Amino acid sequence: MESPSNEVTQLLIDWKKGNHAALDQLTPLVYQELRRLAQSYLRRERSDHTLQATALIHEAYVRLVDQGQPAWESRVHFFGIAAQLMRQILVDHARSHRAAKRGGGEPKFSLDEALVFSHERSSMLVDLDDALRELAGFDERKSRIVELRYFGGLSIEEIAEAMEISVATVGRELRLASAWLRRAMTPGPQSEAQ
Amino acid sequence: MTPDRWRQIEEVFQAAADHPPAGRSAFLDNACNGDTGLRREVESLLGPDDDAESVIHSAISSTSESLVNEQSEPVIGKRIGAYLVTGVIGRGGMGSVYLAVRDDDQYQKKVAIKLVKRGMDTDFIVSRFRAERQILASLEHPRIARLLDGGTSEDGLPYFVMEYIDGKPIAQYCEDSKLSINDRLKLFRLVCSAVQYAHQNLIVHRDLKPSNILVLKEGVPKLLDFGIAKLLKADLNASGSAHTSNTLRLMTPDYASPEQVRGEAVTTATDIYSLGAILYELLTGQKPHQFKNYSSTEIERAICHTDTDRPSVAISRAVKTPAKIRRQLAGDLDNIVLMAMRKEPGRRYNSADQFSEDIRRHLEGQPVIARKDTIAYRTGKFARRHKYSIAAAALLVASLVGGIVATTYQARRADRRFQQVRRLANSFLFDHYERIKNLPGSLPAREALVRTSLEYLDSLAGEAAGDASLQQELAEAYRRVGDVQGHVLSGNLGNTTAALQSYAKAQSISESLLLRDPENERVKTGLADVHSRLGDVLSYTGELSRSVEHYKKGLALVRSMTPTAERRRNIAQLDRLLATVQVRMGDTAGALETSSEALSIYEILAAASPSDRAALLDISSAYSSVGSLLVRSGDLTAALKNYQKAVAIRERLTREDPSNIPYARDLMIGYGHMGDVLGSPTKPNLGDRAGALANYTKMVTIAESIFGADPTDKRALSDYAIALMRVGNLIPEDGDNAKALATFSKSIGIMERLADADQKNARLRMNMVFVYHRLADRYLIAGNRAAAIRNYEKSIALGEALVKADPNDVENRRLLEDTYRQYTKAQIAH
Repeated sequence: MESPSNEVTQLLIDWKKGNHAALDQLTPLVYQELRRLAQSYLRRERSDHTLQATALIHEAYVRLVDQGQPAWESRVHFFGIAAQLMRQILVDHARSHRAAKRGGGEPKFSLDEALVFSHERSSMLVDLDDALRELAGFDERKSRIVELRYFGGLSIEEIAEAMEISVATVGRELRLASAWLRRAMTPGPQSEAQ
Repeated sequence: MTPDRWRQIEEVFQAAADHPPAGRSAFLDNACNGDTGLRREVESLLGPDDDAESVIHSAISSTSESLVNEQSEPVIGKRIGAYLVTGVIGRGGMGSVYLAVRDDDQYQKKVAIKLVKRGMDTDFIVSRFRAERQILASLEHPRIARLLDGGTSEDGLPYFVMEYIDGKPIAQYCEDSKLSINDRLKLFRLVCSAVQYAHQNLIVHRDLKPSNILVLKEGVPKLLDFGIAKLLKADLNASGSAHTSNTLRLMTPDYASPEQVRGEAVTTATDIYSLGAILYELLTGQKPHQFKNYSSTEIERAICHTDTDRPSVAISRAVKTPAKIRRQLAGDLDNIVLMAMRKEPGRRYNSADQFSEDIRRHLEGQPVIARKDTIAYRTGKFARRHKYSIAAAALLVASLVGGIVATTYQARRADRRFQQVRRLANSFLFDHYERIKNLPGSLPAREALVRTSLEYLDSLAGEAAGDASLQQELAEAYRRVGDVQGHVLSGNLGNTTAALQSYAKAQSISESLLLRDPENERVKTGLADVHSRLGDVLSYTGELSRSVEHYKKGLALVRSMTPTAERRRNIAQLDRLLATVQVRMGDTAGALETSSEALSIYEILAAASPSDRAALLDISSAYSSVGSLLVRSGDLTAALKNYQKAVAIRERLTREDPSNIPYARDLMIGYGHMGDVLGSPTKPNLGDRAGALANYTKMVTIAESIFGADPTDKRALSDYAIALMRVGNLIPEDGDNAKALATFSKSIGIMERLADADQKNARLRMNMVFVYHRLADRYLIAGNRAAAIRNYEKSIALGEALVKADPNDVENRRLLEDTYRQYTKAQIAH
């Protein structure tokens, strides 16, 4: 059996060449790896308790993609897929929480003071996801850039490479997209009446 | 959002963002060129860039944090026993707590499941649980979370199923609500009474701590995990010191008693100690011991050997403690807390009740029994040395009381003048008072009458303190004075403080009469009456727990007498009043019990006189209130049954007397209740939309006919609009859209008319916000975007006014936010 690392690397190359079936095979592999990593995270001793979603993606990349290959292009592609999947995983998680807690408000049933869940915060991610989809409705590129930057953890330079636009443009796109998202996530009648 | 518009916004935004903030306004004037919409749009987007970034970052990172924390046990959607896990509530040293619903249940009541983690002594826990489950399950108290079930999961891990409590840990609740010292004490007394109840059932908690006491929004504390600690921990008695470190590892040492630290016998006194430590924290904001490294030697030294700082000293350590609070704690409260926390179990309060009573005495300014822990006390010398003098004092008190009684009997006189004055006062007080009681505007006259009579009676009573029947008259006089001063259920002068004082006098006179003559039914009835009124006034002034106490005392008195129809009715009446207060306190279970008693009394009364319409009305409203309490406690099926019974009676009444408007309206409300519980989309329901629709339709028919009979009846009109709203709301999104549009339009048309006539009705406007919103949704489905946007705007305008008028009303706020969201979507989507 082929090692996952070779398999993923090959799929990335195939996909880059225009083989769309490769993407269909790639997606579940990356998804599984991300979830598995998220699971194993808690079992490890961690000195700091903050975890960035982007750290998971980096780790998944190191594990899945053969690092001996000239990796730069596959890296961008990989992160493109992973960012999207990460968003999906997080949104599913937040939504399942919201569904579980619907109507109940924030639960405060504690065992030894350990409370890990915050209802409002899970709602924030769902709001972000809704807003992103709304943004994609009239400006697909900005929504994609936000996904790569915040869910995928790509740098501005990497995004510029991946999307074949200038670094300055990425900066400006992000500036407006973030401002628009912030406003969309803050309830209020700020949107222009038409 | 059209692409052109978006491009235009982007262009102006990017240019403005490049401008230094100082020149932006002028730039925007120029760039927008009078397009105020564009300008508003860009301005709302401009802001600190990093702020926008951090909003997005924190949305993502908090969810990823929660994700990895839960991935270690991916149980959501899985089953534990007969329960389906729907979420995680918390994690800790002994395992995790999950939110779950019973899978085979129709109404999916929420429960909390504590799943013990691997590595604990599971065999021990399971066998212990089997031995104790009966006792634990029998613990039924409104302020104790119930243990519902328990067992072993498929993986062989023990679990306990408990009532799910949605509240805040008590310490946090006190801080968040900024409760005063006195309010904290009152709240704490509620905790004590729950602990007392468990102790009476021979159950010791063993792990009382603030996180095990959750306070509901309504301010009612609920104790969690009663008896669970015993199941989870090794038997301390048998263990000796080897287990000590293990025990400590599992418990929070902040509230642990010396005997627990030493591995000695745990008794109810252990809980008293923990209660003391909790009160310490509630009063000072600090834990009683300051541990640095939580080592076992440090813990043992602090808890078993070191004197605990007095709360008033501890609070001085905190920065910026007002001297007032320090003074408030110094003295009684210091002594009370430290008495509960004494190192020797035998020298703490005897019971949670005694602890609580001492707090009450402090609250009422009476001397407390807690004393400073002196060296003499500690060595026990005091009691030995004073054994004889204590006995002597007791004798002296007894003889004094006897003496007073004897003297008054001798001093009793029956001269003519005395009797004349007494008759006069009584005729004023009873005959004349009754005659003018119902005259409008007679309040000042009644007060003068009562006062004058009272003065006479008072002076007579001074002459004949031992005359029981005179005392009885005096008690009744005070009760009447109280009524006039401030009995909230009838015309009064609005002085509730004075009323409470008068009632208290009536109470103490009656109580002393009862001491002499315990079976006197006239005194008992009078005293029950006074308690009932105290309950009324205290519920009005918001002192709910005291109100409950008085109602209960009144009930106990009436129950202690031979039952007659009149007394039964009296009990049911008191039950209904009591249940109302219990509901306000969040004590649904208690209210349910009380209302059920009222219901069974009305059933007995109605059976005795089956055609008595008043009795039938009583019984139907009792069914109805039991129904709504069952809804509150989540038992929708039982609620429906009660609603059905209420409706059946009302249908009969309406059939017999079709022109009776109040009967018809009661019936309409009954149908509304049934519709709600069957399938209202905005309430907990049984998912029977068709059944709900049928009932709501009956509502509409009745409302329409009441209104038809009297077109000036605004309430009927409003009922009609609300019934239509409910019908409209039940039509599914993919259902008959035209019918939904018509129904909502009709409803809002009526509401608009009502709103014109009644500028201040907030409830009506709240309904309008909702109906405009729904109407807009329906227009959107029908493809009429312009009408949809118009109605969203109406909804928003009204909603904003409501939120502005009452910024704390969460429901309005949520409604408005929802509308904003839909409105924005409606604008963008096209």
